[in-house]
Amino acid sequence: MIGAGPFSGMHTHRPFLLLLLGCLACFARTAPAQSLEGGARAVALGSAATALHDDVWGLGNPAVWATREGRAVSFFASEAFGLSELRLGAMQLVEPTRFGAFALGARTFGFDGFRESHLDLGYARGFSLGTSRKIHLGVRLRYYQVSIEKYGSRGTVGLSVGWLAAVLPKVYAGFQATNLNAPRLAGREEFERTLSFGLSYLPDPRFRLLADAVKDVRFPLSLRAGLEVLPVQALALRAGVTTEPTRFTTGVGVRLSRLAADVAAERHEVLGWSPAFSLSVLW
Amino acid sequence: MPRAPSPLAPRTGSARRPLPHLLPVLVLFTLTVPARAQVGPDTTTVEQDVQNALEDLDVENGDPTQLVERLTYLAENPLDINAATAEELAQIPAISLPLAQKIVQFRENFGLFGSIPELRTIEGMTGEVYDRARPYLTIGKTLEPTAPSPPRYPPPPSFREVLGGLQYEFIERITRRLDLGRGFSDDTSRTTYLGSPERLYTRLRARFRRRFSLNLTLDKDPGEPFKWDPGTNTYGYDYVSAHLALADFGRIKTLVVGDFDASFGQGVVLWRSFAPGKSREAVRPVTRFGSGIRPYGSTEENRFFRGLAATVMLTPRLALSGFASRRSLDASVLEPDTTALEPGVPVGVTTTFSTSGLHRTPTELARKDALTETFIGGDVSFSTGLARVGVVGYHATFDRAVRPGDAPFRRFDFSGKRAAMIGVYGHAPLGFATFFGEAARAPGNVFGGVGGVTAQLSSDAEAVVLFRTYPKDFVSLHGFAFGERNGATQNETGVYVGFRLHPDPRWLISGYFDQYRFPWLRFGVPRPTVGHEALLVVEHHPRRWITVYAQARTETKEAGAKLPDAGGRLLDGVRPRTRQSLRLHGDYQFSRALRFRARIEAVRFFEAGEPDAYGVLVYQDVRWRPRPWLQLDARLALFDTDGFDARVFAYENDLLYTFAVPSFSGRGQRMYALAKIAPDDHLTLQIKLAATRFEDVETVGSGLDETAGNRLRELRLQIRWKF
Repeated sequence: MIGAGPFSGMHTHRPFLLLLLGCLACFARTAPAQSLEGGARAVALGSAATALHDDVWGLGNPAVWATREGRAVSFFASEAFGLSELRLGAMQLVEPTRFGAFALGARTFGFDGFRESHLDLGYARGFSLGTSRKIHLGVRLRYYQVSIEKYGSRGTVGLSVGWLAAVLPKVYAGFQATNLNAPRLAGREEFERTLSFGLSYLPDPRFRLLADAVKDVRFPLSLRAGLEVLPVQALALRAGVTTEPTRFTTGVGVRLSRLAADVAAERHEVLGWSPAFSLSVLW
Repeated sequence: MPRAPSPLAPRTGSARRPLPHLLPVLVLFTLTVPARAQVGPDTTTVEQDVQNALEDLDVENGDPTQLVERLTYLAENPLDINAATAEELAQIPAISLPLAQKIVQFRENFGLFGSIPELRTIEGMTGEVYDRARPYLTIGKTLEPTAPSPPRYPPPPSFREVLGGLQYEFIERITRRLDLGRGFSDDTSRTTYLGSPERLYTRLRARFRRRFSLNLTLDKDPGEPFKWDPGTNTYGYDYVSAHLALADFGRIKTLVVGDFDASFGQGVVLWRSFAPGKSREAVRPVTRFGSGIRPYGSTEENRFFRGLAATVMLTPRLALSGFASRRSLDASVLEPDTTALEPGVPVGVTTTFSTSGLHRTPTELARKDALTETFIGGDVSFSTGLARVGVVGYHATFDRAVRPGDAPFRRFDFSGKRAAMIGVYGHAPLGFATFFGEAARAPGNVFGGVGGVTAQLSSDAEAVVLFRTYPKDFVSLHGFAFGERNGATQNETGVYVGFRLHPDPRWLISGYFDQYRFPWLRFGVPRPTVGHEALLVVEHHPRRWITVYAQARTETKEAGAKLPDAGGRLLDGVRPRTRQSLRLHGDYQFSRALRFRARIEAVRFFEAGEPDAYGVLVYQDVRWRPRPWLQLDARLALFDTDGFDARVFAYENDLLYTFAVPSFSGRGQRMYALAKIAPDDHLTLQIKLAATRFEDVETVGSGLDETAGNRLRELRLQIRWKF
């Protein structure tokens, strides 16, 4: 379904273009739970972020925004496998209000030859539904734009939803479904469509264990786990592991008053190390 | 108005169990207890029970619609704990026969129950069992210590009472696939379906409690023509079923004119309705026993009789049943001009029964009602309330000879025009155990049967052991006894062991092991074969609103394969195939209005010499009741399997009285949304929209169902009006 417009020249260079898109889409598509997405804290925790209830980025689950009590601004940068072509920069703003939390996010990934940019608009809110507990529901609209040198650019919108709740006093459960509307750019080039379940266990405020199962409709089921330990209030040590692909992650977070800095490093079995860094201001 | 379960309601029971010996005293002080207010049936529990029974069953050997209807009926007409027999109580999925016997014994020893929660004082009636059984129970009698002893037989209601108390029900269901297969195209050069793609179902029923029922069921399957054609027994709808039934009219326990279902004992001789097979319930489905004669109004087009049937109580303990039926069945008939195709088969005989109930093409229509079966039979049984012993038998005659053909695997299939069968069955408690069994004689003087023992060892443990032997030439035309091939009561021997343990009120461990042997060939299996299956479930309820379980299952079974001999030639042989699955499932009831359910299941299939095949299913369900009259269900599921052998199943919520257990192979996504709108107690509207989208395919399905594109969508509508 390649129509008129910037993509109409695809016919002539289709094999090359498909190859390029295929390679890049592989990174882009597995990205949502990898280092190419934002939040160095989530990266360090093996991207097991579906039930990471006090996260700013909400990339594992838009419902987490509803758990924030104050405004948050966060900036993120990463470079996958040390390749400057796979650099990513992102920012996120969360604004809690009486009517729920609003979120705004932007990111850009790639290089001049291929660039994928996102603009996110999110909303999340907690509901009690007649109980003394809260269920947090979130929704995210993401505008995707892909630009390919000499071919132009094209955009589309994807809808993602999630929920998060403390099912037991020390256990959070979360769920996210991304791109429910199956957005596509051209032909069959689709964005990720995932279903993820997450659990987070906090036996103590200084200790957190996370487990996620993430299934992309086109990729094998990926299992992820993360561990966060706070030896002192200001310092967080993190580690994580994932399957499909097998990756090990680690990271450190420092929190000083309203400022929080997180660094993460991820090791892919074959492709090597990817560093990530984020800086946040938390009100 | 359907009522959702109240997970947040306080638990009744354990903290305030009155001691059994105090009960008669309590009863004396409780002069009258008002009957339970008439509230709507708990359809959520029915759905859960149906799901437990069916979700692991490859639905090949019968249509479980009957099970769904029976449980829905039971929820709508709950059993009176002060009047129901042990056998009736044991029809409730959560209640085992030993437990049902304890309930009856308790009632006999201490008098009638004053309230339903009093059941909790009985050993074995755990909180979990009670919660699951509660929707099927009511208490219908006031307790008056001075009341005279009840009559020996229930007095028949007066005509005026029946007429005044009649409840009418009208159901109209229309379902339609939105993406149609090739069979619905206008292609005149090839065979297509004769009718429209809609399925139309209409049901009219008038009932007076459990005691009177007048029913008409009409059904047209997708592709079947809607026309008036008495030549093919098509009266608008392709399938018509009707009955008039009475129950508990003096000595008449049951009387049915029209379509009926007859199930006795363990089902070796006679069992027409569907019964669940192996499932994670582990113990309960194995210990079954027939419910006798029941009116039939389901849409399954084969598993019923048509005629006259009655059960009469000769004494309060001795029941005599008789039934006579004459109905036509679908079958392939070889006509003279086709004999050349299959030499060796005589002309004008029936070769195979057709049980699909579909009459969409000229070929299928030609099979419709091709054979007539005349069937008479009877049963005598003696029951003490806790034990029963009975004899059941029948004689069936077909209007033309049935010849199954020369294929070796059909060698012992039914052949000829007549069949007669007789069996003896019974069950009896002995200590903490209950023995049950049935032995029967099939045509040709072949004997087979099933027997076992089930025990309620304490409140915390129950177990069952069952042996079965149905020889290869044991032809049971109307049996449906327990087995690996659920319902195929022939060519199988096996032993089954199942257990359920409650080490803690919040933990449940259950499982089974079944080993079986098929002493003769089967379709596609050129040798006698063996197999075994094991299942283990660990279920945890950390709170009343959370249930999580892990289920592991493995089955190894020999299947037909081409194997090389020493000289390299390929010969028909058998090779073991193993299918394993691991499932993690969670239910979270956030409030009365909101429930989540999630599952991850992985399947592995392997066979020597072939690459392993894997399958994965993940889904998330949401049920939301924003208003008392509105309930919304939605699911998003992703499946990813390496082909058919590693396929995955996913039970779905569906319209009332129906169910869906679609299986998925390939890779894709399934979504559905179901809305139930009940503006008042009389009217219920349901609408379901489901869509399956496959990845990387150009067409879906095969043959006449081959559909262009990569998605299948279906719209289902139902209206139910009760007045």
